[in-house]
Amino acid sequence: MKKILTFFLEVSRLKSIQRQGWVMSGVEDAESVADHTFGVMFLAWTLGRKSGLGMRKLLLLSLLHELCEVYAGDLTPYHGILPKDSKKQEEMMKRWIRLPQGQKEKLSSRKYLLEKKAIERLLRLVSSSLHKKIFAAWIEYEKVMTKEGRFVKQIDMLEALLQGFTYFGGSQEDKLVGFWEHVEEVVSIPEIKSFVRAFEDHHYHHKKTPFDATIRFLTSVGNLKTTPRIGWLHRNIKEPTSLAEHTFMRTLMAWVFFEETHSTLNLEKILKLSLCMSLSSVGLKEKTPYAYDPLLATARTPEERAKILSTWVRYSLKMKQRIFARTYRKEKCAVEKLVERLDPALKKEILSLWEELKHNHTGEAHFVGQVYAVETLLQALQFYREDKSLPIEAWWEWAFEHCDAQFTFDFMDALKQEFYEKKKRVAAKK
Amino acid sequence: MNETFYLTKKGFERIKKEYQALLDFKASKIRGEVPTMLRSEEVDPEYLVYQEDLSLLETRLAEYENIIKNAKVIDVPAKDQRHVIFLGATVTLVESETGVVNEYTLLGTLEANPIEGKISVESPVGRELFGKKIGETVVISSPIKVVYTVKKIIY
Repeated sequence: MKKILTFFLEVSRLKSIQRQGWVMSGVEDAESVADHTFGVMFLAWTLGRKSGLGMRKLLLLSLLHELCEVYAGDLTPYHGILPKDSKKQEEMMKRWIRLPQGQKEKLSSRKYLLEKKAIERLLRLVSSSLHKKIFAAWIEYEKVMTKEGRFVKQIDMLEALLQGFTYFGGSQEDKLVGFWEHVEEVVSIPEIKSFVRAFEDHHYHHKKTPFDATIRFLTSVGNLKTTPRIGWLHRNIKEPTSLAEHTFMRTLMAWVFFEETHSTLNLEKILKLSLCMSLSSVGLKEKTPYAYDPLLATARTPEERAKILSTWVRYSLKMKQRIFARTYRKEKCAVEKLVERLDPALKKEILSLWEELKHNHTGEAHFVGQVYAVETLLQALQFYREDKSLPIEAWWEWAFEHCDAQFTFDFMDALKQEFYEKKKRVAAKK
Repeated sequence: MNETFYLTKKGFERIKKEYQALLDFKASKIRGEVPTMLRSEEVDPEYLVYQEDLSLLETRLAEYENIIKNAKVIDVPAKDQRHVIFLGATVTLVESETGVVNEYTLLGTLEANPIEGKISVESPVGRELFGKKIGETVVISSPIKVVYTVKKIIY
């Protein structure tokens, strides 16, 4: 479990590696690679449903396709050819790459080798079975070896276009020209082409299209990239992780634990359950159970407030059930509103998965709930490592209530070793 | 050795209902919906998906059968044992340091939902609570320490 923890700690860097294309285009607070992966997964789910391709594979390739960037960084297709002058850079990036074929191949080959070296370095941290699976998935995507690989390659670019609209749509649309050119070059799969045409009609010609509901859904869900987890905000974390970043990390951890525990649960369902977990926060401000604490409401000083937040909530059973019922109703409304205009089958699927999560009635829902607990604890410990004033006790208490699967106990032991005993060993050496 | 699944009466009824629903679903899938195989030289992907669906369904049915076979419905303990925390107990705890009250219902993993106050007997909190009596201290520790006193137990 120690190796798995190290792997997660390294992969969690993707939450702070910003997408370089946006940074170079002058976007402040650009999305992270983890945010982008989140977007690609939702595209895979919504556009891949009727493609006849394997959904589990689409979701997995989407989840794993950027892992090389943990060590390679986010290399844009312009890597190695941009002029040093920032103004000239900006000009060049307004258009898609125009180079002789030989030079394109050379650039592509160089990028591939850099990223291959990076992913091989990362995969030294995992078991040989996981190593094979991740590498196989990455190659399948990189070299477009299968229909699923091709699909994910194309939606990867499409996701960048959609994100570009979020940043530049309206007042800076000249910055989108390069994206459109790239998409026009690359997109060939009928389902994706139809979506691109519909997106164009939707945004530029204000026409009604069969994809309007999907476009609205994806745009709304994309807001989770800029929605921080409320628990971190309450504790004044300087750079809180977004709900999209949490979703990415949780989904990745769910898959790794699934593999390492040789689970016989439905993996596709697990991945989708994890994706659905934060959907209610699209239309509803996230509330922690502390929101119902009368003591917190009447706390007069920051010190009083900090003392209350230093432990997990303590409520009567009646209060816990009342809070659950109240939040369940509000969250359900929010999810229903989010999906109301989607294709009936997809709408039903998302609502059903969300219900399953809330009631924790299936093996898959329970599994994702367990991963949710340890992922949150891991993130809390990472923040605690940087700022010892964070009341980490509250998260341990919460985890002690939530965790009941053996893999979570093993993982918590690894966390204790990493975040507590390692500190003692380092101090002892000094 | 087979695992025992502890369930409330309501929980057990729910599991049996879900199992029956899955059986009905399997029957309908076999009855009406087998896609044609081998339309071309390649195996029809729809058929492969259908086979995979059936295989997952069989796994799920086997899981339910295992639960039903090894389920034990949680009984209310005898009157003279109701001062002890067993499965099904709703426990009121008082935190020693602050006097603040916390409550849980202790259930099997299949019915746990911590957000509703229903915790699993397998969780670290659940394991510490199990077997404790009114007035006893419960210490949940490593790497932090939380100390409670058991104030009330209801079945």
